[in-house]
Amino acid sequence: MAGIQIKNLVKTYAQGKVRALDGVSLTIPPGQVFGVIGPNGAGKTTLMGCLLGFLNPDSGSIEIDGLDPSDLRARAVTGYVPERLAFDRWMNGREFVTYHHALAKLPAGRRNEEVAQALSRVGLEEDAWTRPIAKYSRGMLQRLGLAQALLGSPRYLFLDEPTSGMDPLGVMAVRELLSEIKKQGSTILLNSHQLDQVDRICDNVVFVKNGRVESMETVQAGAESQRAMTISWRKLGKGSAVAGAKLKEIAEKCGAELLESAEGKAEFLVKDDEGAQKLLALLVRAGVPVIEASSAEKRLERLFLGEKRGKEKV
Amino acid sequence: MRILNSDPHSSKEMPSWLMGLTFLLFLAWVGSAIYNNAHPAPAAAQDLVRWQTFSDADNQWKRGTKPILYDFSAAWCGPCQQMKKDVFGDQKTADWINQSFIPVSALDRQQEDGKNSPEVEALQKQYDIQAFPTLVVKFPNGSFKTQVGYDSQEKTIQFLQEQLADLKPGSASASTP
Amino acid sequence: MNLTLVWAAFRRTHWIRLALLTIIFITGYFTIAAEKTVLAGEGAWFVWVLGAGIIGKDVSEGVLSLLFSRPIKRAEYVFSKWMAVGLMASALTWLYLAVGWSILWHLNEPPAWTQMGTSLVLALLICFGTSAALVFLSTLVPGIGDLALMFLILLAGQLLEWWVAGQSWPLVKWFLHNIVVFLFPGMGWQSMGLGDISLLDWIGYFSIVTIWLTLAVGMMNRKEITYANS
Repeated sequence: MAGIQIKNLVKTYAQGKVRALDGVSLTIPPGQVFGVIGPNGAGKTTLMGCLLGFLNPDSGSIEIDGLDPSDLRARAVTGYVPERLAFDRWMNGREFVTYHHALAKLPAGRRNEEVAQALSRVGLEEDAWTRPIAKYSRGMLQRLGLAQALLGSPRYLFLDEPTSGMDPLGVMAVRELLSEIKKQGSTILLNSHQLDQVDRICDNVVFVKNGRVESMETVQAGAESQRAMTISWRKLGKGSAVAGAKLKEIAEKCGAELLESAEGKAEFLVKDDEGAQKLLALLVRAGVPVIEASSAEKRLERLFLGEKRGKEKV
Repeated sequence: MRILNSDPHSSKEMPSWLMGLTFLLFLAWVGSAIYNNAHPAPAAAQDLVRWQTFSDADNQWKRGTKPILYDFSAAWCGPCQQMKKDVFGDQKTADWINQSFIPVSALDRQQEDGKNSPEVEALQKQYDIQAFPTLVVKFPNGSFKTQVGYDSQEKTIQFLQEQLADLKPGSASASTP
Repeated sequence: MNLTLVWAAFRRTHWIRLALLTIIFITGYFTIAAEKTVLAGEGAWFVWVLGAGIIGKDVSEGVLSLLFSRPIKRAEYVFSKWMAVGLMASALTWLYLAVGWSILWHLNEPPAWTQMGTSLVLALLICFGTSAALVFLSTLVPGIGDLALMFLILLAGQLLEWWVAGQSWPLVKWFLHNIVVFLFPGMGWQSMGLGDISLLDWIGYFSIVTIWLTLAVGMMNRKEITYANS
């Protein structure tokens, strides 16, 4: 059976004293983007560890395309970006991706080409490819992590905080990339604290707390939906505030609509992800010092904080 | 999680060939050791040198005709056994040593008994013995020369010959084995 | 065995290790000039200088999670590390022997051809044997803790041996007396000819090596890779 089936998964640490997963059951159909959110210590990383065969569950079962997570055939169709970007620091970016291309047992004949493609796809600048990884910024490490995860077009992608440390433009680029990957039919499991990112990308989101799935929500809005977006910027000096008329002009250039503006922030209605990205780019180019861009909708925030209005329960 | 996972598709496979080889070799090792214990090899590396007691050697040495040859060794020392076989177990060489030197065996028993005899202890201190085997040639005038370690029969014989060549003519046989 | 992993292990050698190796080479040659002999046992030093932390460092640096997300068997990983250390140390030992023999030729003390051939073979046996023990110890502790563990075992073994000297526990005494043999298989043969090594000793050597490798694979198979519990 395709997809991921998790049944009554229990995982403890410290000889049973810490119950990290307490009977988790989930079914992730193929081709979906599945978000996992929850507070620190909820069990998200443990769940991902079990799915990747790094941890030995105490009881329960996991099947990925009908296979055990430790099965080499499951490993061969999986890509993974860890939260802690501990890469081989003595290599440079290209060497690292090449190394993983070889470890993934992908054909050597197309290695150079596919490595270059992967690095370009994640937006890592070419002059950084030959720089030692030890000198990479957090954002560059994230891109590198994505590059190696995308090798071989994996059917399953496990991402642990994939946008952590990235600037808003970078985050949008990742969202776009994930949408593209989803269109190719890959299944994506995504851990994230950044609720608005999860909201934008995922088809379904589960909220995990104390090792249990507390609730699950189907996310209606996807990358192609129109929605409100709040953009904040650093307050400028007296006499140089951003005029409402200027904001309206910028919005119209990219097909968005200015809903309201105040000093230091404004709310826009954007058509889709692409529109949102263009809006941000135009604002930055116009000299607006953008510091935050977030969805005005707060469904996941309500979920996180425990409000239970109109949600499906698992 | 199975301890001995023999699924060839699993990333946590314990290869059956490794398990099998380890098991068979271990069995063979234990079996050979038991067999060897039950059927000890005939007395190989027969030592043909006539080793003297400490006091006899001292008395002979005082006559000033021959140097003492001290062999500092231990039962657990592999190279010592090799030297015993190659040098002291060779009839011609052993005869030559018996003729040209006053041979004394200073066998270390620290491992087996926890301590050495007073004579061995004193000799090890006197000649600052740091490793086994060590050959010490003590000349009639009291000076001495040392060879540490065992390389080959030829090198050992060469060392002993050189010591005899240093002696005054007539006091001992400087002939070759 | 995975050649990608073996090659990565070669390339990772730090300059500090190379500096230590140079010191071993130089001090070794003073001994050669003094004692007119070159011993293949130096290979054991090379194994530990090159290989300390060969698996432990991957654990402490956190690179194992990404590595094992790939279709790689843990046994493959262990064998690759063993081969990498064994090959590197053997190559260095052969170089050491070659230079040492050149010194002896220069000092007019040339070793016999058979002796040189024997030393080359013994170097391989000592390097791969010691490497097997190292790889297992490296699965137990992070970083270069395997080095500390090795010294601890030697020290504990020596202390225990003194303590049991007066007892009649032959199996325990045999075990303690042979700790060096377990940690450095083949080392005791370095002054011997190949023909002088008994069948029992040969079987013992290969048995010890396979036991170390089996234990190492077992440990890696059981190892859980996560930072979640921290």
